[in-house]
Amino acid sequence: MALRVLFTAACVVTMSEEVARERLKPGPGARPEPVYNAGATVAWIAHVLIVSLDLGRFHWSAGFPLWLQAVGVIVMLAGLGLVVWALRHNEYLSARIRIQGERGQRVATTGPYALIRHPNYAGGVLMGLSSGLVFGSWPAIVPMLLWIGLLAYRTRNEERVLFAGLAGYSEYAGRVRYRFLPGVW
Amino acid sequence: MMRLVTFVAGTAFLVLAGAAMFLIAGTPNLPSVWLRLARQSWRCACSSPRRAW
Repeated sequence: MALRVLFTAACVVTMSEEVARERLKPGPGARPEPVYNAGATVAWIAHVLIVSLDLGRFHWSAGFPLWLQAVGVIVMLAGLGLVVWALRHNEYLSARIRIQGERGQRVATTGPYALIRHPNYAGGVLMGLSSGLVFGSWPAIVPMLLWIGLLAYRTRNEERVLFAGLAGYSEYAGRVRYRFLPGVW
Repeated sequence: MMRLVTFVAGTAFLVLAGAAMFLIAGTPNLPSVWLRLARQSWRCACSSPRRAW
């Protein structure tokens, strides 16, 4: 929880007013994402529910190794850092899938975008992988795996929109070949 | 202004999520990784080798 508060503060300090406005009140023309939205909501509610029941009532993960929790904290910090780094280099990082024509959207190519095409989602993957570890709950890892799958699904949908509507994205994708992890995907 | 709203909304969401976790868990004393790490560090610091005489 402390890490999430730190993350919120870091995001707010890093993002511009325009990015904050776009994330709170996205402009028109967003691609509907019913599968992702429903799935992500279910996955996160299940995660919180399982963590609470595990740690507070049933103790399914009693004796969870402390060293693994410490590894989780390090991976979580890496994920949070990657998202904040992406926010610093992408002035168009919306919470919705849409081309921000009214803001003259351009392709972000600097910072983490020079290495991978979706560093914000890659950061989300690291956060999802580590959340169950940080809490010290084995079963809480399962819904986060579902969320990671949904992030990959959303990335594919987003890329369809970007390839079709954002000038220069095809050339950028030719230069930066991987979405989440260089050499893998 | 929008950044401030983002921070307030984000923090309020986390407080609500935390409260929900305590309610579902039935106790405010959930084991924390920070507490476990602090205890472990304290134990390591206190278990320095004793002199032989």
